[in-house]
Amino acid sequence: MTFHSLNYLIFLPAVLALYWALSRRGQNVLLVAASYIFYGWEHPWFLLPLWGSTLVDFGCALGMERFPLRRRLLLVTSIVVSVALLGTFKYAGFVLENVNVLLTDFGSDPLRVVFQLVLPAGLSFYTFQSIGYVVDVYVGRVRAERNLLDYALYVSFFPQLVAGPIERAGHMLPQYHSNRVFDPVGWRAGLTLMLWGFFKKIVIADNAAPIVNKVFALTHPSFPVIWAGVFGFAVQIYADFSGYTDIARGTARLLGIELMHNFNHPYIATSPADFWRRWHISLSSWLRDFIYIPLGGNRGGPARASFHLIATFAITGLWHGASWNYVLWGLYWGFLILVQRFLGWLGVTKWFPWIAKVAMTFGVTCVSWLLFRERNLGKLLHDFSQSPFATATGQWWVGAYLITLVFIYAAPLIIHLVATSDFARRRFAITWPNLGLLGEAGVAALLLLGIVLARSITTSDFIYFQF
Amino acid sequence: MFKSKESLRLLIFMALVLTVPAVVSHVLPAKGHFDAKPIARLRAKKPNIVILSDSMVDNGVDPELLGKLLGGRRVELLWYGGTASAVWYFRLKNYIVASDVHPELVCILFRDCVLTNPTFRTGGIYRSKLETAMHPDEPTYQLVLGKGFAGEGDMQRWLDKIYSLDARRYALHEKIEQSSLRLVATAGPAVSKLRRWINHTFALTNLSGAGAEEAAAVTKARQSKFDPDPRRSFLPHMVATAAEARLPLCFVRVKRHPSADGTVEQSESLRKYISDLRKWIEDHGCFFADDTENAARTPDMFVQPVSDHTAASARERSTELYADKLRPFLSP
Repeated sequence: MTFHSLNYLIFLPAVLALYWALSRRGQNVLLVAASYIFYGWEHPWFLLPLWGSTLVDFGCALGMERFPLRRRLLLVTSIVVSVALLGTFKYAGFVLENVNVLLTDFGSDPLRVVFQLVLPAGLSFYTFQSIGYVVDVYVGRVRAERNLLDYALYVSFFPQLVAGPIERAGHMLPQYHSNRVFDPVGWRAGLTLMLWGFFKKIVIADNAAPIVNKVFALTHPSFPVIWAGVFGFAVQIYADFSGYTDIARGTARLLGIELMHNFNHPYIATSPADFWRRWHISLSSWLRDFIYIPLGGNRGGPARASFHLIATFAITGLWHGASWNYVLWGLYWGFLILVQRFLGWLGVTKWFPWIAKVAMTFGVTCVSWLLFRERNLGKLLHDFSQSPFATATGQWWVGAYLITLVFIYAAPLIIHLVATSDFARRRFAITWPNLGLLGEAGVAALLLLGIVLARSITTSDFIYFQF
Repeated sequence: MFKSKESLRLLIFMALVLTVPAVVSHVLPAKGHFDAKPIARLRAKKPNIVILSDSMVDNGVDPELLGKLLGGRRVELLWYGGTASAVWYFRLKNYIVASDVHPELVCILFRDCVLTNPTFRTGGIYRSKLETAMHPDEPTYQLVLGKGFAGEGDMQRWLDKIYSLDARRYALHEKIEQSSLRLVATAGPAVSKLRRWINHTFALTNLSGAGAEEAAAVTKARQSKFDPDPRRSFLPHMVATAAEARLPLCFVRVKRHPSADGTVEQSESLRKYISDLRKWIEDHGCFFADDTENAARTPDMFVQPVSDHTAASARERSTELYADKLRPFLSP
């Protein structure tokens, strides 16, 4: 089931009505059942790897506390099972394809094995969340969960199961252990957040999508047109992914559960490192805590720290998909952060005003989105080789038109950025609770009206479902 | 558990959020405005021949030359790229018949199975073209497309009743596109020029895979049987409307992009479909012409590599070939 389907409009009120009539234990049972219905709605077999992962990681974590001498073995077992799940469903086809390319290059016959499995939605998200839990238990940051039901809820909580945020056990399990109180004020905020998420998805992202798809379907796009398409994709992917997160956080709030922030206006980042502190925060902090720091982090001198950084970003790329363009995308970000560190060491970054830093960071981010969106490496090379100096005037105007069109759809993002900025808070004291009942209702009604009136003619799945 | 004051405020909040958009939905018109300009144009020109079609006639027919070749008649092209049977029906009824000009011949140029594919090019970006040719209350629309647009499920229909702006969004998207064009035009080229550049940039031939998709959509009904059921096709409504207005109606099947030897591949089921279509049209007193096997329309006359559109360089030759097709249906 997806958030933007009519089924969800029936599913969620039904769950909420039952939920608030039950005790805490009953609420958790209901949430687990609802999560499995939500997740297995279209493909019931998706539940099998989810259950497998849940049971193995629950058992391993419990085993670590019961059998301290076997802690390392249990940790490795749990991680191997999670990585094997990912490897089987997500990377086996990619590995086989590349092995066959190598075999063909060396004059051997390719392996005659067909390996194309449907990737269960959200697999990368819940395996990372489970790995995080097991590692946290291993290092003693959290205690192993004794109750299988509560742990199953931690892995499968439907608002965040398919596309995050990738939560931490230390944040979620205590919430599942405590009583939830019906909070009407929280409900108002949650409903508005959900509407804002829906608006971002089906008005902004889905209206930008056809423009982007058309540009990327061009066989020979010119320089301005391809970059206008990349700008459109930057808007699309942000509205799409952050929209999902807002719906997830809003839904969770209606259930009395708080999910972490996953985005913090990433397009006003002032450096590549700052971008990753604002974009997909749950993934970047997970990678920092469970990959970068265990690898050695900043220790061992600049060369080793650089290696750790590049390796972490290569994994970030691979996490997104089994394709070379994602690896390139990850390496590119690692390289950018290295350059930023070097410039910082030289003291160059101090010279630039805030706006220049934001513009430069947005520029390099757009380059990364081209690497992310274009999976065909041949076409990617073509796109990068387009010269702005060999472009007909008409193409510049076509590019300007595409950017203007995307900008109009993206205007609410800018209004939101301004309204929620520190400046607005200081100057106009505009904060959510200060809007008052009518102000809040006005904003929410406007969002619903916008959804009814301007939602895209064609809609598509959330982009991050494929990861 | 409930704090009563806050709960009441939540109820007020939810009531406002749900009702305000519903009220606004019913205040705003649910459809794009009817464009009456073509009626005035028809009345001013008083054409002898009116041709309804999509972009097939863009370079395919030169109206002045066609008129000259057909004995000095006035020819009006009522074409719009990206239209199909639904738009043609409403243009026939609401423009040609409504204008009262009584042309000698109304001609519809179509590809393969488009005449009996009622939903083809009625949604998405094509929707606004349909709305501008429709009055607010069109029983034929309700009969053929009403259910499809209201949605199949009860939930969808129920939501459409409360928030009746579903159709309005097509017009809104059109307005946003127009605003973007005008904004860019304030700093640069004229809107018409900009639109030409955009159309040229995103021409089907420049899009990978799009040509094949378009071709597949046009022949969607290729494997199905010819079905003249008035609940599932605009064709019977076109014929009935023309008959009622005593307008001679002619359907011309255009030749699609041929292979190198000049022939168009046609499956047995397509041949059967066309044969049934022809019989039905002629039995109902209309004319039918098929250009598909016209050897004189050679591959070099088409936009390369795979488009059904006529190349600009072949406009004159193409017009001559259409004149040959239409001549038998006109009085000397």
